[in-house]
Amino acid sequence: MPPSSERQLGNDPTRAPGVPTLALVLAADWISPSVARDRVRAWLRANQWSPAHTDDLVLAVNEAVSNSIEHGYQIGQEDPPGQQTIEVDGTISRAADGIRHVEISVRDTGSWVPPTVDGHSNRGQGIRLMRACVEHLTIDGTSDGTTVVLQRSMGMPA
Amino acid sequence: MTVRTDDREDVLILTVEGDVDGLTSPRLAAAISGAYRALAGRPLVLDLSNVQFLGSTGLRTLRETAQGPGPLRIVVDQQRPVIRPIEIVGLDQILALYHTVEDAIAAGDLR
Repeated sequence: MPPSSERQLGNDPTRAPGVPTLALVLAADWISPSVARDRVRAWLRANQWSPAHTDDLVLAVNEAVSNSIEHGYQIGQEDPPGQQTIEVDGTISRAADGIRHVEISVRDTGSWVPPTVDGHSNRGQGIRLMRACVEHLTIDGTSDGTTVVLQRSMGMPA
Repeated sequence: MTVRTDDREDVLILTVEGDVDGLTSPRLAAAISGAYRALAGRPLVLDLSNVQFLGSTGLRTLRETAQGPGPLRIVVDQQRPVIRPIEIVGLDQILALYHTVEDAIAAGDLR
Protein backbone atom coordinates (compact mmCIF):
# COMPACT_ATOMS: atom_id res chain seq x y z
CA MET A 1 0.00 0.00 0.00
CA PRO A 2 1.65 3.25 -1.09
CA PRO A 3 1.58 6.31 1.16
CA SER A 4 -1.42 8.53 0.63
CA SER A 5 0.58 11.20 -1.17
CA GLU A 6 1.62 8.72 -3.81
CA ARG A 7 -1.89 7.45 -4.13
CA GLN A 8 -3.08 11.00 -4.82
CA LEU A 9 -0.44 11.31 -7.47
CA GLY A 10 -1.46 8.10 -9.12
CA ASN A 11 -4.17 9.49 -11.33
CA ASP A 12 -2.48 12.74 -12.25
CA PRO A 13 1.28 12.68 -12.71
CA THR A 14 1.45 16.46 -13.19
CA ARG A 15 0.06 17.14 -9.74
CA ALA A 16 2.54 17.66 -6.92
CA PRO A 17 1.81 16.63 -3.34
CA GLY A 18 1.06 19.28 -0.78
CA VAL A 19 -0.93 22.41 -1.50
CA PRO A 20 -0.85 22.83 -5.27
CA THR A 21 -2.40 26.25 -5.63
CA LEU A 22 -2.34 29.68 -4.04
CA ALA A 23 -4.87 32.42 -4.77
CA LEU A 24 -4.75 35.88 -3.20
CA VAL A 25 -6.54 39.12 -3.88
CA LEU A 26 -4.67 42.03 -2.34
CA ALA A 27 -5.58 45.66 -1.85
CA ALA A 28 -3.63 48.40 -3.62
CA ASP A 29 -2.05 49.24 -0.29
CA TRP A 30 1.57 49.23 0.90
CA ILE A 31 0.63 46.67 3.54
CA SER A 32 0.01 44.17 0.74
CA PRO A 33 3.62 43.24 -0.12
CA SER A 34 4.06 41.92 3.44
CA VAL A 35 0.77 39.98 3.20
CA ALA A 36 1.93 38.48 -0.10
CA ARG A 37 5.33 37.56 1.39
CA ASP A 38 3.77 35.84 4.40
CA ARG A 39 1.28 33.88 2.31
CA VAL A 40 3.77 32.85 -0.39
CA ARG A 41 6.30 31.81 2.26
CA ALA A 42 3.72 29.69 4.11
CA TRP A 43 2.55 28.13 0.85
CA LEU A 44 6.05 27.19 -0.28
CA ARG A 45 6.89 25.88 3.19
CA ALA A 46 3.78 23.68 3.10
CA ASN A 47 5.16 22.31 -0.16
CA GLN A 48 8.61 21.63 1.31
CA TRP A 49 10.27 24.21 -0.92
CA SER A 50 13.90 24.83 0.08
CA PRO A 51 14.56 27.88 2.31
CA ALA A 52 16.91 29.51 -0.22
CA HIS A 53 14.48 29.11 -3.13
CA THR A 54 11.67 30.28 -0.89
CA ASP A 55 13.56 33.46 0.04
CA ASP A 56 14.16 34.18 -3.64
CA LEU A 57 10.54 33.67 -4.65
CA VAL A 58 9.31 35.74 -1.71
CA LEU A 59 11.62 38.57 -2.77
CA ALA A 60 10.48 38.32 -6.40
CA VAL A 61 6.79 38.38 -5.40
CA ASN A 62 7.47 41.36 -3.12
CA GLU A 63 8.95 43.26 -6.06
CA ALA A 64 6.09 42.39 -8.42
CA VAL A 65 3.41 43.43 -5.92
CA SER A 66 5.34 46.60 -5.03
CA ASN A 67 5.62 47.48 -8.74
CA SER A 68 1.86 47.06 -9.16
CA ILE A 69 1.19 49.44 -6.29
CA GLU A 70 3.84 52.04 -7.09
CA HIS A 71 3.83 52.01 -10.88
CA GLY A 72 0.63 50.21 -11.92
CA TYR A 73 -1.59 52.19 -9.60
CA GLN A 74 0.72 55.17 -9.06
CA ILE A 75 0.43 54.96 -5.27
CA GLY A 76 3.46 56.52 -3.63
CA GLN A 77 4.84 55.16 -0.38
CA GLU A 78 3.28 57.98 1.63
CA ASP A 79 -0.06 57.93 -0.25
CA PRO A 80 -3.34 56.50 1.08
CA PRO A 81 -4.40 53.08 -0.28
CA GLY A 82 -6.25 52.83 -3.59
CA GLN A 83 -9.48 50.98 -4.40
CA GLN A 84 -7.87 48.63 -6.92
CA THR A 85 -6.72 45.08 -6.35
CA ILE A 86 -3.75 42.89 -7.18
CA GLU A 87 -4.21 39.18 -7.84
CA VAL A 88 -1.51 36.70 -6.92
CA ASP A 89 -1.94 33.13 -8.16
CA GLY A 90 0.48 30.27 -7.70
CA THR A 91 0.59 26.71 -8.99
CA ILE A 92 3.01 23.89 -8.36
CA SER A 93 3.26 21.06 -10.83
CA ARG A 94 5.51 18.04 -11.13
CA ALA A 95 7.17 16.80 -14.29
CA ALA A 96 7.62 13.11 -15.04
CA ASP A 97 11.29 13.32 -13.97
CA GLY A 98 10.24 14.42 -10.48
CA ILE A 99 11.28 18.04 -10.94
CA ARG A 100 8.70 20.37 -9.48
CA HIS A 101 7.82 23.62 -11.10
CA VAL A 102 6.34 26.68 -9.41
CA GLU A 103 4.65 29.45 -11.30
CA ILE A 104 3.42 32.60 -9.57
CA SER A 105 1.57 35.33 -11.42
CA VAL A 106 1.01 38.85 -10.13
CA ARG A 107 -1.67 40.75 -11.99
CA ASP A 108 -2.85 44.33 -11.76
CA THR A 109 -5.25 46.42 -13.82
CA GLY A 110 -3.04 49.48 -13.82
CA SER A 111 -0.95 50.93 -16.56
CA TRP A 112 2.74 50.69 -15.85
CA VAL A 113 4.99 50.30 -18.80
CA PRO A 114 7.86 47.90 -18.05
CA PRO A 115 10.97 50.04 -17.78
CA THR A 116 14.29 49.23 -19.28
CA VAL A 117 16.76 47.92 -16.73
CA ASP A 118 19.02 50.89 -16.27
CA GLY A 119 20.27 49.67 -12.92
CA HIS A 120 19.60 52.78 -10.92
CA SER A 121 15.92 53.56 -11.09
CA ASN A 122 13.94 51.73 -8.46
CA ARG A 123 11.85 50.06 -11.16
CA GLY A 124 14.99 48.76 -12.83
CA GLN A 125 16.23 47.46 -9.49
CA GLY A 126 12.99 45.66 -8.76
CA ILE A 127 13.19 43.92 -12.11
CA ARG A 128 16.84 43.07 -11.55
CA LEU A 129 15.90 41.43 -8.26
CA MET A 130 13.08 39.47 -9.89
CA ARG A 131 15.31 38.33 -12.75
CA ALA A 132 18.00 37.12 -10.35
CA CYS A 133 15.51 35.22 -8.20
CA VAL A 134 13.67 33.13 -10.79
CA GLU A 135 14.52 31.04 -13.84
CA HIS A 136 11.94 32.65 -16.09
CA LEU A 137 10.44 36.10 -15.75
CA THR A 138 7.82 37.48 -18.09
CA ILE A 139 6.27 40.91 -17.83
CA ASP A 140 3.22 41.41 -19.99
CA GLY A 141 2.03 44.99 -19.95
CA THR A 142 -1.10 45.99 -21.85
CA SER A 143 -3.56 48.86 -21.62
CA ASP A 144 -5.68 46.62 -19.37
CA GLY A 145 -2.96 45.99 -16.84
CA THR A 146 0.27 44.19 -16.21
CA THR A 147 0.90 40.53 -15.47
CA VAL A 148 4.23 39.38 -14.09
CA VAL A 149 4.88 35.64 -14.23
CA LEU A 150 7.65 34.15 -12.08
CA GLN A 151 8.78 30.58 -12.69
CA ARG A 152 11.24 28.34 -10.92
CA SER A 153 11.95 24.61 -10.67
CA MET A 154 13.13 22.39 -7.84
CA GLY A 155 13.71 18.70 -7.20
CA MET A 156 11.29 16.63 -5.14
CA PRO A 157 11.45 17.06 -1.36
CA ALA A 158 13.61 14.48 0.37
CA MET B 1 10.00 47.25 11.55
CA THR B 2 11.46 48.98 14.58
CA VAL B 3 14.48 51.28 14.75
CA ARG B 4 16.29 51.72 18.06
CA THR B 5 18.81 54.51 18.60
CA ASP B 6 21.91 54.02 20.72
CA ASP B 7 23.44 57.45 21.20
CA ARG B 8 27.02 56.96 22.41
CA GLU B 9 29.78 59.44 22.96
CA ASP B 10 31.81 58.31 19.97
CA VAL B 11 29.22 56.75 17.69
CA LEU B 12 25.51 56.73 16.88
CA ILE B 13 24.01 53.28 16.31
CA LEU B 14 20.64 52.60 14.68
CA THR B 15 19.48 49.03 15.23
CA VAL B 16 16.80 47.94 12.76
CA GLU B 17 14.59 44.91 13.30
CA GLY B 18 11.90 43.39 11.12
CA ASP B 19 11.08 43.91 7.45
CA VAL B 20 12.31 46.85 5.35
CA ASP B 21 9.82 47.14 2.50
CA GLY B 22 7.62 49.68 0.76
CA LEU B 23 5.58 50.19 3.89
CA THR B 24 8.45 50.68 6.32
CA SER B 25 11.35 52.12 4.31
CA PRO B 26 10.10 55.74 4.62
CA ARG B 27 10.42 55.36 8.40
CA LEU B 28 13.93 53.99 8.00
CA ALA B 29 14.83 56.93 5.75
CA ALA B 30 13.44 59.34 8.34
CA ALA B 31 15.38 57.63 11.13
CA ILE B 32 18.63 57.85 9.17
CA SER B 33 18.02 61.51 8.31
CA GLY B 34 17.33 62.26 11.96
CA ALA B 35 20.49 60.44 13.01
CA TYR B 36 22.56 62.39 10.48
CA ARG B 37 21.31 65.64 12.02
CA ALA B 38 22.39 64.45 15.48
CA LEU B 39 25.80 63.08 14.42
CA ALA B 40 28.04 66.04 15.28
CA GLY B 41 31.02 64.44 13.60
CA ARG B 42 30.45 60.91 14.87
CA PRO B 43 30.09 57.95 12.53
CA LEU B 44 26.65 56.40 12.03
CA VAL B 45 26.37 52.63 12.33
CA LEU B 46 23.25 51.08 10.80
CA ASP B 47 22.82 47.60 12.22
CA LEU B 48 20.75 45.42 9.88
CA SER B 49 21.66 42.13 11.60
CA ASN B 50 18.08 41.58 12.71
CA VAL B 51 16.38 42.57 9.48
CA GLN B 52 14.30 39.70 8.10
CA PHE B 53 13.50 41.16 4.70
CA LEU B 54 14.99 43.84 2.44
CA GLY B 55 13.32 44.77 -0.85
CA SER B 56 14.08 47.30 -3.57
CA THR B 57 12.48 50.18 -1.68
CA GLY B 58 14.84 49.46 1.24
CA LEU B 59 17.77 49.24 -1.17
CA ARG B 60 16.75 52.64 -2.54
CA THR B 61 16.79 54.06 0.99
CA LEU B 62 20.28 52.67 1.59
CA ARG B 63 21.54 54.01 -1.74
CA GLU B 64 20.06 57.46 -1.14
CA THR B 65 21.29 57.76 2.44
CA ALA B 66 24.74 56.23 1.96
CA GLN B 67 26.10 59.64 0.98
CA GLY B 68 25.37 61.54 4.16
CA PRO B 69 27.21 64.15 6.20
CA GLY B 70 29.09 61.46 8.15
CA PRO B 71 30.37 58.00 7.30
CA LEU B 72 27.54 55.45 7.20
CA ARG B 73 28.69 51.99 8.25
CA ILE B 74 26.24 49.19 7.67
CA VAL B 75 26.27 45.93 9.62
CA VAL B 76 24.96 42.84 7.86
CA ASP B 77 25.68 39.30 8.94
CA GLN B 78 25.33 36.41 6.55
CA GLN B 79 21.57 36.57 6.75
CA ARG B 80 20.62 35.71 3.24
CA PRO B 81 17.43 37.78 2.88
CA VAL B 82 19.50 40.93 3.50
CA ILE B 83 22.86 40.33 1.87
CA ARG B 84 21.44 38.72 -1.27
CA PRO B 85 19.42 41.71 -2.56
CA ILE B 86 22.34 44.03 -1.70
CA GLU B 87 24.65 41.88 -3.82
CA ILE B 88 22.21 41.41 -6.70
CA VAL B 89 22.01 45.14 -7.35
CA GLY B 90 25.71 45.71 -6.64
CA LEU B 91 25.23 47.89 -3.57
CA ASP B 92 27.94 45.88 -1.81
CA GLN B 93 30.39 47.75 -4.06
CA ILE B 94 29.13 51.11 -2.80
CA LEU B 95 28.19 50.63 0.84
CA ALA B 96 30.64 50.26 3.72
CA LEU B 97 29.60 46.83 5.02
CA TYR B 98 30.73 45.16 8.25
CA HIS B 99 29.91 41.84 9.86
CA THR B 100 29.49 43.08 13.43
CA VAL B 101 28.74 46.34 15.21
CA GLU B 102 32.15 46.05 16.92
CA ASP B 103 33.89 45.85 13.53
CA ALA B 104 31.92 48.85 12.28
CA ILE B 105 32.88 50.95 15.29
CA ALA B 106 36.51 49.80 15.19
CA ALA B 107 36.76 50.75 11.49
CA GLY B 108 37.17 54.35 12.58
CA ASP B 109 40.32 53.52 14.55
CA LEU B 110 42.20 52.95 11.31
CA ARG B 111 42.06 56.59 10.37
